[in-house]
Amino acid sequence: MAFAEHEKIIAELAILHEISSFELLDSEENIGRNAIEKASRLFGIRYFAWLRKKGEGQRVVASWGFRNPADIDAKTKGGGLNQFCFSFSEFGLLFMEHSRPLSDRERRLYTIFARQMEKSLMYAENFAERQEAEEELRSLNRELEHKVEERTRQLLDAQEELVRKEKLSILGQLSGSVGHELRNPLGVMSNAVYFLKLVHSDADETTKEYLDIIKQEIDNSLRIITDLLDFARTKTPQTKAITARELTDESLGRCAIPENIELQIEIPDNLPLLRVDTPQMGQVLQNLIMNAVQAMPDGGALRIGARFAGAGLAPAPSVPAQAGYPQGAPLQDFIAISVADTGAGIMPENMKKLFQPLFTTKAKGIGLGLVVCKNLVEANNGRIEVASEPGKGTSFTVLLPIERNKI
Amino acid sequence: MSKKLKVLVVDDELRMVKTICDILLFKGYEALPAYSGEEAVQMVKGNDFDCVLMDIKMPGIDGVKALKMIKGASPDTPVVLMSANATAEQVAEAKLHGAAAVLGKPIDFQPIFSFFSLLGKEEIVLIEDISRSNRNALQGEPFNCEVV
Repeated sequence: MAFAEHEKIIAELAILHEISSFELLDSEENIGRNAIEKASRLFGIRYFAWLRKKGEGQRVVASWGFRNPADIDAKTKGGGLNQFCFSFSEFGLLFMEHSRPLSDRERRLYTIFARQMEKSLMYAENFAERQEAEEELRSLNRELEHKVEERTRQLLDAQEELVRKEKLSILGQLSGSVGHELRNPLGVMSNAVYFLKLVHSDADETTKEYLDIIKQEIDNSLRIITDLLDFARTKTPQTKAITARELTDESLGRCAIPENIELQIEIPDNLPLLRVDTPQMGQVLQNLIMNAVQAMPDGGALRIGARFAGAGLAPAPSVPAQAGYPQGAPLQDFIAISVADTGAGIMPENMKKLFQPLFTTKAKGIGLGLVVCKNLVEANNGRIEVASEPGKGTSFTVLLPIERNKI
Repeated sequence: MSKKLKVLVVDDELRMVKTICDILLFKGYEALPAYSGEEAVQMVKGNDFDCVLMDIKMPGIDGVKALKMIKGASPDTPVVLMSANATAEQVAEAKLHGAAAVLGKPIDFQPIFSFFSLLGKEEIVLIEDISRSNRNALQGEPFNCEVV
């Protein structure tokens, strides 16, 4: 409901009256605030609308009080400005157009009133703006914090990966040369044992046994060296198409599964072909199977499964995406081959270290098996993932790319 | 064995040469030592070897270079190379230049003896070093003992 024109005049005059009763010594701010309070109390005015003149420091050129917010639009849009205009912009004086000329005192009071209204308004607007700005700032802060967190995490990941790569590189060089240098003396030892066996083919059993012991230990050492050399250089994969079933069977064929371990294989026949370096992925699976077996010294179940893992992004580079790497190379379909045991599981604090070189929980072992697995899988455009629950078991999953050009 | 097979054993590692020679001698072959590629090439020029057993990694003229020079001086002498850790490129290059085989160290003598026993017979043979082929297949490394 809009004010009738006379109502407005009454309101104005009443306010004016109220203002005039203030001590002019009182601060302008108080006069303004009191005037607004009175307007609301006396006339039920809860809403004030203000028009500002453009280009002059946005000073208030008109103000209205309303009982009902719905009236605000009608008034401010309806061109009512000319009828009821406090215009002190042009003359520097407050002027009510359709009213009689104001007396000097009234004009002064109106001016004070209008300025106070303006101040209050600006204050209120500033407050709202500030709140809005603060909220925006808070939101930006939160976003920033989130970004910083995310970035920090990426940096930490990248750093961890760099440390890993650095370790790998140094270890690779070291183990490459050490491995190579050790093969020669071991070769000489192996020759020497061979010679002794030849020359003393009629030696007593103890001597033969001891020669065998030396030979076996030489072979053990050579196996370690082979592991080291494997680790020292990941060869460029020579990929070919193979089924998950063939790959798994081949790897299983090279593993001795103890009798107290129940082998469960779940590989559907209709899976697409994989495109991988068969010996490399065979080595990975063999390694995972042997780990699983070793995790179950008291027996358990070894589950090997394969499933279509669907389309996913090609493995993300180990550097954060922002570093200018194209994120999400082409979509690639994967098959997930998992090797799960029902062993002791991996302690949560060890989960992050699994793929770090030289980390091992085995009494015998140099901590390179999973590192080699990860390197090989990634060289084959795949991914290796692990899930483990202490006391329940561990599951390693290798995601391998499928053959693209199916004929 | 009517005539003793004469084998030149080349390695910069003295004990490697000594142990191989002693084993070959014990097995009834004639084995002569050489301790560098240069020495091996010189010896091949003055002698009539039935086979050269030579390390790849040696200071100075390495096994592959020596192989080329030996093949230049005496094309029909089979050369078997040995390596503790040959790269695939080295193996490929060695085969390209006529190496009869590239063996991994430590040496498995059985395939060598089989090879020697077939040497006089002028047949085309292929000996597959089964024990290694699995392991090396895993490494993707062609360490098979091929004699062609």
